[in-house]
Amino acid sequence: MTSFRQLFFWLACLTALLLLGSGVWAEEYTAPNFRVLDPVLAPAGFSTSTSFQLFGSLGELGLGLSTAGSFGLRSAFLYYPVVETPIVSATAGVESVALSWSSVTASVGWTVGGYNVGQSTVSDGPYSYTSVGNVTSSTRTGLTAGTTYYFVIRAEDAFGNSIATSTQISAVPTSSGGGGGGGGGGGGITGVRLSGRAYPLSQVTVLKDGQLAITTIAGPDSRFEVSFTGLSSGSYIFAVYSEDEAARRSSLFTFPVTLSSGAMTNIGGIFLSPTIAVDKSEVKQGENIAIFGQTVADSVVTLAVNSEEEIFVQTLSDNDGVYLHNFDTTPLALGDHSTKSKAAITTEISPFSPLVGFRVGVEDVPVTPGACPLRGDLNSDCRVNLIDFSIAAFWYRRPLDVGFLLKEKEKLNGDGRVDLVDFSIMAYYWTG
Amino acid sequence: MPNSKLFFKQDENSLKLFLDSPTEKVNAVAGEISLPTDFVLSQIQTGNSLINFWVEKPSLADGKIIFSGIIPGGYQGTNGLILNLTLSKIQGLSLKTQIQRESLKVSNAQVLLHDGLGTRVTVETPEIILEPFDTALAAAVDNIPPEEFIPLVAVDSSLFDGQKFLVFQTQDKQSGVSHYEVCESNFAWFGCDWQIAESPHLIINQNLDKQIEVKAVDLAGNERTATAFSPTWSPADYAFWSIIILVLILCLLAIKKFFRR
Repeated sequence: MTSFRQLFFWLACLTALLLLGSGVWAEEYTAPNFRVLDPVLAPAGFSTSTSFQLFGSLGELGLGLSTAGSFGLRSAFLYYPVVETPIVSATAGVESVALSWSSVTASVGWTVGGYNVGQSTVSDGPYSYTSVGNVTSSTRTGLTAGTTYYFVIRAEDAFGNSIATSTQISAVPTSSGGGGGGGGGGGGITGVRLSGRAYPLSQVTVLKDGQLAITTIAGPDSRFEVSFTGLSSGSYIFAVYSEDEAARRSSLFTFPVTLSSGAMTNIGGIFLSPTIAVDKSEVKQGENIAIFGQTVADSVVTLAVNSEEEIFVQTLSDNDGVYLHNFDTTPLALGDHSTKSKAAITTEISPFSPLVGFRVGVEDVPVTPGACPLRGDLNSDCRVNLIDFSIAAFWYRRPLDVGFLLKEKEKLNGDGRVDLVDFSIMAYYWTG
Repeated sequence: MPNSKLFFKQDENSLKLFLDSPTEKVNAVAGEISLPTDFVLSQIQTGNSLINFWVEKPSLADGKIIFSGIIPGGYQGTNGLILNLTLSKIQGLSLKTQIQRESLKVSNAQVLLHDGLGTRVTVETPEIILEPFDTALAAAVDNIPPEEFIPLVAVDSSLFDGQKFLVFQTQDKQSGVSHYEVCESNFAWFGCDWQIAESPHLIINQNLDKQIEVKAVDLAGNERTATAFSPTWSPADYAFWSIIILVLILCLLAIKKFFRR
């Protein structure tokens, strides 16, 4: 009996010493307004890899349940992609390459603090990085004419941590004597080459300054590449979107670029957003609503559903890039909601898809497939383009007749007049 | 509320208006510019503008330039060119007068978010104090015509009582498009009665049995012509013109034979 008591005593002492040594106390996660029970600690370095570091996390019992006065607390899962990868353009010049890239959109608590340009003469690096500040263009000078240079753009957060890296883009600087290649080739031709990811065998449409320029079909691996030549030097806005088999469209990806005379500009790493749809326009609270669409094959798709706090869930796309998630609407309040999706594959992350709305109510109402669901489509041809713009422009600041009043209510903002807000709606839903 | 900025930069003999929207994507811009009284506006250039479609193309009226337009797909970035003013100064004012009077800013500015709702964002419109312009500097030479374009024939019940109309739009990367002209004729190659037009333009020949051409002219006078509609010939048309040509040939042969006698 004595020996059992002694054993118990020594075990208790050992446990206490271990706890003291680890420095873990229940009080550590306690504050006047909340307590965190049974915290789980991970050993240092457990959540660190070459592409990310986890500096700290605080678990919530439910989204939006925690508050703090001294630091921002965001209701999200840290491993969900919240930053889209930058799209980069490269234009070769005389012993130089002009780079520009899309401004990275961060969300869920992250802010972009600046960018680094990675440069190498070897494909896939290693790259030597130069911090260029919070700008979206940089010209690399002092390069060797005729040598292929490879670049990546790395976005950093406010603390200097890398949060997104573009795909690689190349360019061949020219010599002062002329000749040589443009952004990866060219030789005296003014033009642009766009490349990136859409969906397997999907149609990709490219707009030049808002007007239809060319369509192409993505490969089975979702990749597409399209070139324009014979352009004059100057500033252009190229826009790209893709359509899935059901003619649902991605968000319109736009990229302003200044073309130099006699040089090809490469715009690479375009990752079109997924398409998205839901099976019900109204769903009974607590029932499932199917959220589906198409994106790159075998990618991780993050769905964001807006409610009082945004809810994120993840699913995978199949070999055809199709994804489907049955979302349980139990946490959603009665009323109007919307959802959007983005995809991630390797280190690339797409922008968000268009928003699709649904209502949480008291009954299930299936979505009725409409011929032309687009707002802004004034002539009901399932497109929003110059014709619709011209129709709206005709009525700009004029009293509307009865026929157009109905259209304005149905397809524009419904305030009974045509003003800049209506044109902004058209610009958002633009298809060219 | 996200911020954007509409601001001027003076550049030798021109004054450029730029848009900054570094954190949010925006897709519609509007504003007014009241010109100083002691400046004369030489030209408003829209070449290289971010604005792809002008709702109100910038033009001078009552001492004000009013503009509005959209960027399909939106714009997020800095130093996006909106328009370029070429001004010349009326001589004879002192430097002090210039500094006191020659300031410029955009008023009634609107910038709308690319959110599908047209939400307004706050717009900063800093004032610029103008430096004297070097009127001796020549404007850049523009000898490149506007970009190729495709005019479209459309019909809509809410426009022109359901009659057919034309829509057209192109860009000019140098000086910008000055205006458009339309010609409806079957014999355009012999010369055409070009009429200045704006999109949408009501087609006169509603039967669409004549060729319709649209011409874009830039500020330097360079032209780009595009065919909006070309009537297709029916088998009867081919037969008719074949008979006419055959008769003409026979007549020529007859005349030739007559003179040989």
